[in-house]
Amino acid sequence: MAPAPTDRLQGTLDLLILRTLQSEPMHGWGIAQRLLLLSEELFQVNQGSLYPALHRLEDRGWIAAEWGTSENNRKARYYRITTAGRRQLTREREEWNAFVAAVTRVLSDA
Amino acid sequence: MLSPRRILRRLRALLSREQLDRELDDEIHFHLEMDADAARRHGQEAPGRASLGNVPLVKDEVRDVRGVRPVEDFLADVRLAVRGLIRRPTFTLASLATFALGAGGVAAVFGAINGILLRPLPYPEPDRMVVVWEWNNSHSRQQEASPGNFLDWRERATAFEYLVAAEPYGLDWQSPDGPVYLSTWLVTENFFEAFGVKPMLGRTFRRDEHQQGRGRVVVLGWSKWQRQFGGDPNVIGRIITLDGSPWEIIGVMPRAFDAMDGNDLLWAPKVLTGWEPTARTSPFWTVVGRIKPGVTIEQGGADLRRVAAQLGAEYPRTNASIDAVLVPITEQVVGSARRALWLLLGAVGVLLMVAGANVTGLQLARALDRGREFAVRAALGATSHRMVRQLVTESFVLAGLGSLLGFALAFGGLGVIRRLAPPAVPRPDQLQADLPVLLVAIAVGLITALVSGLAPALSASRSNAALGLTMGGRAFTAGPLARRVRATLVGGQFAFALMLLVGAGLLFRSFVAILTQDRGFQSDHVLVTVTQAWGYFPTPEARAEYVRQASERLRQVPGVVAVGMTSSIPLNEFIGAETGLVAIAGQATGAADLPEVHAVIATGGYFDALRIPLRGGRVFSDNDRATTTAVAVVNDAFVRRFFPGESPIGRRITLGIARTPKTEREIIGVVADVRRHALHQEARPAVYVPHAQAPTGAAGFVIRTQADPDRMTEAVKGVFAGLSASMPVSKVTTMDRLVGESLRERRFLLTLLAGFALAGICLAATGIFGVMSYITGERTREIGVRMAFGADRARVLGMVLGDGTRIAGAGIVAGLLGALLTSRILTGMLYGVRALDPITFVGGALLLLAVGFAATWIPARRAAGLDPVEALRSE
Repeated sequence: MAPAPTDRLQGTLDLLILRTLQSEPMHGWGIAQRLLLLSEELFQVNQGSLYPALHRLEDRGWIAAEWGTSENNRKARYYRITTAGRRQLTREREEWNAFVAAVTRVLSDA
Repeated sequence: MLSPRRILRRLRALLSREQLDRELDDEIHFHLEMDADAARRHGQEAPGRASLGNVPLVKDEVRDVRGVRPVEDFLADVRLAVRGLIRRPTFTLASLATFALGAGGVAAVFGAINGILLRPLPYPEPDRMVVVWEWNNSHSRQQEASPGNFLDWRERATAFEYLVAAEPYGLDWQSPDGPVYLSTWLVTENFFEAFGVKPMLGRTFRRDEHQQGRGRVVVLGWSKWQRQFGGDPNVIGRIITLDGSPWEIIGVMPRAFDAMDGNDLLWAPKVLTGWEPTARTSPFWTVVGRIKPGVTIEQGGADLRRVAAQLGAEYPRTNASIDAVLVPITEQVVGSARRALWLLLGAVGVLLMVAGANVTGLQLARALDRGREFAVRAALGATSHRMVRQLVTESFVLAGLGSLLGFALAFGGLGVIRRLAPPAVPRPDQLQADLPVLLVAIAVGLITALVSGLAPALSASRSNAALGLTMGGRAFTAGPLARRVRATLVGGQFAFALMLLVGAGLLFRSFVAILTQDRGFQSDHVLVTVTQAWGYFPTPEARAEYVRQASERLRQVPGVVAVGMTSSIPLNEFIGAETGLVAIAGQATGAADLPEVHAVIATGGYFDALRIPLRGGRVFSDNDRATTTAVAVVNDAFVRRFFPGESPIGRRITLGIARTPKTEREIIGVVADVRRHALHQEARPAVYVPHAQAPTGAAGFVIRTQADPDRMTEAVKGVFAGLSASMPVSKVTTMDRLVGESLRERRFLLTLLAGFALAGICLAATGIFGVMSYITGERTREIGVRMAFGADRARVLGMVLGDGTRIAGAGIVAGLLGALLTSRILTGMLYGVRALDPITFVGGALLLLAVGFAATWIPARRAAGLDPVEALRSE
């Protein structure tokens, strides 16, 4: 079954978070900054969506969280990707590519 | 499916909610600070919360992710419910009591039914077990089996895996504490195998132990082992002296096997003598059969009837009218308790209806009361779904607590049932408030909560927020419909309560009728003892002398007023033969169908000691001896049957009674009818014969005393010990106790039904009190206006009382119709009272009306006492 649009949007955010965490653990604020940077200021992630998404991913076991100290010596909650999360990232990346390819095909045909 | 890891996370979410919330706060706080830092670095205004959006909403959404929101909501509802319940103690206590009564009553009766009727007997495949009776066509009576007939059944019947018999017997044990009478069953081969029960210790009888000279072995029942042998595990192999000879204890049966008839039991092998195979007119063996697998009870019955018909053809003199009937063993053991228990279940069901109506009424009142609260909550955005859920939670909290209270009640109730249970109830120790009883209590409570909580919840969910607020809550006074619903609920309680009350009333009137009717003897101040003198006074002369001596010495005990001996003690179990065939001189009757009468061997003192009225002639005296004219005394029933309208004095009869030669006797006296078997059963024609002329060893004594007969026990026992040091006194009790025992089943039903009726009345009273208080409270303004316009207090009082009485009255009229059903069900249990007894019906109705009136009185007085100015201002 094709994912519903909201699912797709949520899925996209999940995919982006997992991708962001692929290289190193990060806290929520850092993830938002990184996304902003990587997307060249395009993705201003609404933090109202970010934290629920983080907790959701944690609940599913794709990321894990622990308390650490931030670069400016503050207590921060750091997220890191788990093995299951890496598998999920691969799967979602493939799905995304397929999705994008399909959309591109449709658009170029029109 | 949740993985274990996620289940753990959910648990953590529930258990450490506060910590998680604190961590979330920290996390978000960190984010905001980082935002602020970044803004400062860029020299901008702090973006504040804009980038994060609505902070509480974020937290809320994160909490949703934890997946325990429904549970958290539920717990919040429960907390809210408990707080609400504590705030309204009257409502809460009334509801709890009602739930407890309903659930507890049902659970207790269920416990009794489960313990007695539903739990199978402790034998493997009990449905293959039957009790076999002789059916006596000439007397239309079911009786035990004669030994000769049993032996032929066993040999010829093909449908049975086992057919076994038990003969009631007594063994006298010379115990270390003196002689003890042990009631014993002599059992035929394979008795225990037929039941399929193995001994707990030792073994049961071998085949060769049923042979002459080898049968001095006994198997103990569990309670006999406990009571008389102290539960000693080394009892096997012990030699004890029974009837003057050494016997060996070879086994102990498990506790459950006592179910056979609940007494403490002892078994010994039956050793056949030459007599049994020819004994076809002495029905006293209890026969039990195990039908072969695959054979139905009907086929088994047909098989035995075929054999019975053969015997009828072969021995026409004795067996022409003897058939056989099978009764499934479960039916035999619990049959008599069944009707009583289903009756109780019906009664408790009616009580549950009263309780349910009461709870519904309470909930409705509560819901109306809280109209304003719900209006406020609706205005603040609570969905009606959420509010209904909260109401339902509240009734479930009530129901849960009520069910637990109900279980406690059932626990006590089962104790009462255990204590009151008639002897017919097998294995009363099985009546436990166990897990099934708890489950039933909870189920009944929850179902009641669901049903009773639904209506108020629905009405609340339809409430209109705006209206509720602007009207200051007044919009939630009961409309005409709601008021009618509540009146109907209360009326229904009165109707059901009346059904219970009429039932209890009819049983009570029957009980009184049985107690007060003429039973033919006076039971107060009479001590009863039983001896079996056969073995200790072996000759007829010795027994005659024994009874003479015993009577003489007992009479000399200080405080003894009169002493009599009898072979048949009213309301007691059999101690010897009690029936005989009678021939009346001058009345032609065929030898084959001589009428059977109740035959009693007694002394003249028997009639004095029990104060049995003499109707004419005289009773026996010391001058009626073996060598003088053979005499007899008959009862009124005998005269009615054989000498209607004549005087029987001086007429001659011949009575055949066990082990006594048939002699022609002269009737010398007529006495009143004595109810032998049960106080509600008419006496049969009876013939009394003086002991001197029929010296039986089965000698019961009735001793009339001046003071409390129980205090004479030791002195009386001393007299018997003085006559024979080794003869046990097998029973010592009082006549009053025998009367009490015989009424146990009635008292049991009456007590429980009366309890249910009382509970029903209390519920109905609180119900009408509640609804009238509410209605008058609601009409405060109206009453104020009326009073301002000149209505006096008496008038207001009358108005409210009239309303209440109308509600109760309507219920009572409906209840009278329902009570017709009650009395119909009870018909078979009534005595000396008609099923439609006007006193019970009218009395019950008036009593309930009075209760309704009294319960309405308080709110009516309150209404009449209103100050009109205050009443009008209260708005």
